[in-house]
Amino acid sequence: MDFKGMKRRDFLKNMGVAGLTAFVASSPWVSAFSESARTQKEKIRLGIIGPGSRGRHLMHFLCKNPKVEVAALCDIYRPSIDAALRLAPGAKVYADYRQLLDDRSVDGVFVATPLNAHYPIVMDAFDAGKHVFCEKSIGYTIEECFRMYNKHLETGLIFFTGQQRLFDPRYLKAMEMVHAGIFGEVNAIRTFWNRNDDWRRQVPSPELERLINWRLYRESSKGLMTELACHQLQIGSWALQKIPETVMGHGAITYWKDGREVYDNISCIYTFDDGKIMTFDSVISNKFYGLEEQIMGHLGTVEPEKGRYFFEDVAPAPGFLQMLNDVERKLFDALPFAGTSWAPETANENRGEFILGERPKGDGTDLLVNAFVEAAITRRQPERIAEEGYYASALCLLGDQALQEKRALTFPDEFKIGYLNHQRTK
Amino acid sequence: MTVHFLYKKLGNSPKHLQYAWFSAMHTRVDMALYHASKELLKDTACQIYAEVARLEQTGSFYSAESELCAVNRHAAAKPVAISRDLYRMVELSLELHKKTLGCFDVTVNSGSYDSQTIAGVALEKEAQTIFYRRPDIKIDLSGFLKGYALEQARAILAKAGLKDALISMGGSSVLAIGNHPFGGGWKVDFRTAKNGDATAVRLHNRCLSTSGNEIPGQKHIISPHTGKYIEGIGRAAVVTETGTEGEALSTSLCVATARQREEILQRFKAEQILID
Ligand SMILES: NC(=O)c1ccc[n+]([C@@H]2O[C@H](COP(=O)([O-])OP(=O)(O)OC[C@H]3O[C@@H](n4cnc5c(N)ncnc54)[C@H](O)[C@@H]3O)[C@@H](O)[C@H]2O)c1
Repeated sequence: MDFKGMKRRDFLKNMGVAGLTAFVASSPWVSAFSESARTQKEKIRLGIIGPGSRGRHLMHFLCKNPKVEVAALCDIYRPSIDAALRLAPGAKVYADYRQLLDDRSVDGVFVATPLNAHYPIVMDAFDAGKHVFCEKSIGYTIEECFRMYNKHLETGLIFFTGQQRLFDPRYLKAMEMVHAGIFGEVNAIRTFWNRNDDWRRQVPSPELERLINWRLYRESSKGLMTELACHQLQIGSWALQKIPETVMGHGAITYWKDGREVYDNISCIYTFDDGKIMTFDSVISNKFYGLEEQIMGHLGTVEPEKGRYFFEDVAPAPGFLQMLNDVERKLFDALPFAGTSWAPETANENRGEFILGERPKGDGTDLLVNAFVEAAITRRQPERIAEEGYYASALCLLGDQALQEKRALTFPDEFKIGYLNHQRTK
Repeated sequence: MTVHFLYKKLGNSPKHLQYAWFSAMHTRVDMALYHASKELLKDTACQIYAEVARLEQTGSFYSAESELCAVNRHAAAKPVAISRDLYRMVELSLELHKKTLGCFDVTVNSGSYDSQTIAGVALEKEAQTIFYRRPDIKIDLSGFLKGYALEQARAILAKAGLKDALISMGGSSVLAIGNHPFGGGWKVDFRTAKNGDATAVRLHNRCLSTSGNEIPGQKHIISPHTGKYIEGIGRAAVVTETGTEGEALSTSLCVATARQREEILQRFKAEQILID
């Protein structure tokens, strides 16, 4: 990590795919880009299953990638197909995903259907020998997620999930700092995602309600947990390099009593084996505090969403942090700190420092998608990315189960995948 | 908790590098120490913190409760008995006043200041008292205090048996003893005020002191020649054996004439780094 040369503008400028690999120590999956220069002339053919709003957002990046041909589309709703064809006019259209999977010329698929449709599609895709990028949450139950993950292991095919924070430059930098111990010991992570809207989409005709507003019905979604918590809970395991053991919470429909079946008001507490805490709160009838993942160390706080960090008292000095970092690599370098006296008046008020100088343009989705492309071309699954994706989904699903059953739940041993502290005890 | 800590293990050796920092004396203090015992490192840093805090209580010009402020209020009326530390600091600063040809003067903040003001400060060794022969004398030890604190820290380190350390008081007073874990001495970089180029010095059992009006709009050095804030000179940085000398010398070089500068530098066994 480079503290002293942290000229933030330069950092962002160099934040191309090559610059990303600087984060490989704390976020090993960025290694996906390590061969991107060598794969320049390669091309893979991809299929998009469920090119709805998210699917087309992903296509938008894929269509810009010269290593990709969006060769096939599949959707059960014609307007989605028409809109997708405008992005990829040459793509072949399939009405049934199985036909798309039979197309031998397709190397990999993006699955961006509603949650309940992911599992059969992903399992069949692996069986058909396709690399898979599946939107989050990956499965409707933990068991589904577990089987998908194991299928990926069995087939040796690439498996990515739609957790774009894993490639968001702000998060990469923040995690590097957290792992370097700059914020001290992290004891609590508070995540929240608040909105003030009904979360509904316009429905052209009533019989389409459940297809279009699939997020609001239990048969196709687990609401705020699978749609929002999934992103934020991952921050806990990334920061602490640990998976929580238990979860308890409460959920209810308290405001949007409009026939929906999923909660509009949720609070969950996840606990780690050492007693540390991660919370997730979501209310969609007040948006004042918006969304954030507050990583709380005994020396400071990081708010990666806002892109800022704060120190409790006196911030550590960059020159000395650099020295700590250097001794790890046995370097003897000069400390860039001496000068006329530092005075409180010249120090910042505690308004926080920017993780990166300016807000990066992307939220990581473009990098995530392109990393998948690289992995599919090189046939090399980056370390930890499937595991991070698995746990993000499994944790939000376990949380939902705790809300449904109104009791505290422990992460089931049979669904541990031998990642981090989650080794199977049997 | 007022002292903060971060640790790093030194390769395969059983030693840890400890970075400790805190705020005191209106600035920040940062230090790097290493040893096999984390407890010893932590304990030493805490002792240094306690000592710096104690010295601030003794010699701060700004906090009304300090011993120095009480002296500034009462010493013109009658001799005031003072602590050993305060006595020693005033005594040292009077010596340094002579040694710097009057350029380093702790009384520049007095009411009707002139170059004779400091002669009105009378110390009585036996009784360990101080008396101001003029009514409006005010002693300000601000810069000097940091140098003195570094010397106290040096003593604490020696007592703990720690032979390698780097301590920075706000970046302007730096004490380097022994060696960096992976090199000889400690390398310190600073940027010149004018062109921003980095200059590195290697310190081994030395102090680096910097004085100056580097921050625009924050002039604080008063010239004993004119009684006014100095203009023009950006900064003077010197390497000396002790922190107290360093403080006096760097301040002096900011206000000295070219001729005085030469003579002062000869009197101190100091290496001048830069004046800009
Ligand atoms: N990573 C993120 O930040 C993010 C953001 C938004 C959505 N998502 C995820 O993306 C997925 C899709 O969300 P969306 O907002 O695009 O929904 P959407 O309703 O806009 O799109 C889903 C599309 O899938 C189609 N579809 C439904 N069942 C199908 C089937 N069996 N076969 C083929 N197509 C089918 C629908 O007709 C629709 O076009 C969800 O899993 C959601 O959680 C992720």
